Amino acid sequence: MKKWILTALCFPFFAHADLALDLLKESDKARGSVEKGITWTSEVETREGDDVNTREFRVRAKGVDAHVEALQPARNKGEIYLFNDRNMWFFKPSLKKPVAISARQKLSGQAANGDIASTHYSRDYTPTLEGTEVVDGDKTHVLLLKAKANNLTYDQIRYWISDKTKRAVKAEFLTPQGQVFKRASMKYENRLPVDGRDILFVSEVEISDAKMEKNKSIIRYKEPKMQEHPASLFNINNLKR
Amino acid sequence: MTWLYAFRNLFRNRRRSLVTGIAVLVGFLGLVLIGGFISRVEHTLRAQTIYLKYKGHLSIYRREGLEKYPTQPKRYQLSPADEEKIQEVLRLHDADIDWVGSTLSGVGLMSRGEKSVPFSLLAVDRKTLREVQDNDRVKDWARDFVTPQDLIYAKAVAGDPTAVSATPRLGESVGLKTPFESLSEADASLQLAGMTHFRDLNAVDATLASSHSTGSEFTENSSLLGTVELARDLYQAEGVQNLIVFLKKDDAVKRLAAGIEREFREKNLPYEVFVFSDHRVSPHYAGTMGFLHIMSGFFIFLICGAVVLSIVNSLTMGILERVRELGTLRAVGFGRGRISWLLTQEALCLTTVSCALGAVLALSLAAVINAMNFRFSPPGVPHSMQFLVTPQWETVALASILLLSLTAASSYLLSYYKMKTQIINLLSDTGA
Repeated sequence: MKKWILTALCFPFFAHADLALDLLKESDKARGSVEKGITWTSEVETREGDDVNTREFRVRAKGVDAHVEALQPARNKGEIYLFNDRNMWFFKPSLKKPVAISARQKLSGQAANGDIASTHYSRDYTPTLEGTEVVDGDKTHVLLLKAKANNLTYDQIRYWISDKTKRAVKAEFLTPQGQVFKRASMKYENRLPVDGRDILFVSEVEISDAKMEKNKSIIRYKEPKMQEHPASLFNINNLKR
Repeated sequence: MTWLYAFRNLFRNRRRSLVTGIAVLVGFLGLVLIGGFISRVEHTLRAQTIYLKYKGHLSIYRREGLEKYPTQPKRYQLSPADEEKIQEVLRLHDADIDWVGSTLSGVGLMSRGEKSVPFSLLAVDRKTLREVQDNDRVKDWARDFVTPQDLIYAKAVAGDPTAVSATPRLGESVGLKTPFESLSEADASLQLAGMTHFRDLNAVDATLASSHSTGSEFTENSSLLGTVELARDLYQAEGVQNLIVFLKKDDAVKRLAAGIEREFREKNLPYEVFVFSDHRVSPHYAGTMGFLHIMSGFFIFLICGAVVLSIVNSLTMGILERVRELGTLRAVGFGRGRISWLLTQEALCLTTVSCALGAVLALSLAAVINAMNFRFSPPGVPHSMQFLVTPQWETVALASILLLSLTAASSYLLSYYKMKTQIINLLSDTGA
């Protein structure tokens, strides 16, 4: 009898945890977390004060691995960021060996290295459902994500996932003390066929400094397509000169 | 003639003259030895700051570049065009300048493939890296700070601009063991990553050629020394952070700084000059010298106080013993000032003899101390250094002038005050 009462009392918590994780898994798909190979082009526009610069990358992802190659500007052409699970490497043709770098390292402006590749928040963070909010007339679930490891891009994220589309619409990136230091908003205007159905795929992520909102980076996702990639593409040993 | 009388009077009470003379001599010795120690520390710190910390006698930055370069390097760097304009001004002072170098600093990650650790890079032009090791002032005053590894590094960068020197702790944090100069080519191969002036990530290959120590707990984990060529490649920098100017003579520093600053102002050039002793450029030098000056001021005050009290005491005793003699001198027409001057002359003779003996003793004592090679480990220095006392002739002259002035003032004032007593009272004094 006691067991039943206990189960009945705990059920809402388990149900909430399951819902949070399901929402997160579904929203990850729209940001590149698919088991099969996927390719897209990212344009990162950075605005800091009067400086505006644009960089372009080709991202090839498969599961938890990603291969990001710089295309523009010319001085960065050929540079490669390789993501192996949670490890990350930087390489360019003139280097003898790749350099292990951190996902937290700034890539350009407000965008961290970890922001450029596919997102695996359901694997990397423990979600807690904090409640619901209406964002731009749309009901959203507010999740607090806490990092499972210390080598992830962010320690904590507050994540708004649309109830209707199951896509994340905005995020706040928090310090370990819980203070917001960056904000992001997402748009989904791309479509991608996954498992026989068209899903909404991220088309733009705008990341801005929490204190200086004029300092921002806009990541535009272009031409996403499902594409097989050989495992050797993500092998760190193939990057050596 | 009165000087002769004054000198002879010293022998009338030899014991008291001897005791007073010893008090002055010890005070003089203290002043000269303290001066010698401070002089040694100042010269050493100066040589270390200017040459071994690569501050130069003068450093030239873009206006506000000293504060803002670390956060906005692209905006506050000195481009090749800036360098040319500065060199044009420096050419006007060619006679005073030994050579001009440059530095560039930045941060990043050092990697050996598996692991990356943060570093703080100070990059210096190759000519400066070579010249400072051979500099006479470094050899004279800061030889304890130059290690065999520094010489190995200077030799390595001459042939390879990608050579770097890391602190032992930084090397160990990527799995390398000292001595770094003995590492195989494969082990010594490193990659350095950092944010470029265009805010992109970049990386370059480097070779770990040697090790160095910063002597500071705060920087010992991350300090990396490299060449300007390597740093410009890593940070994709068009220019440098600052120019460092090394002078032929130390005493030209302030004159030259003012002259260059004036030229910049007149030509409306956006640069500023800092001397090596400026706390904004060399907080370690400025802080240490400030502390030493306060400490030495306190000791000088104590020494001078003891000397003045000894002289006053001895003179009072002498006057009390010689009251009737002084009364007789007053009675035959000697004025108060003249008698006071006679007594002052006696004190000055004694102080002169004490200072002369003190100078000989101070120089001998310093030679003995230096020959005994006492070693100690001061804070901020990676290894032990010799306790050296180097009295300078300037210090000897200054200490002599100080003590002679104090003696003259105290003895004249005291005797003049005592001579205010009426002649009849002086003559009838029993000396009790």
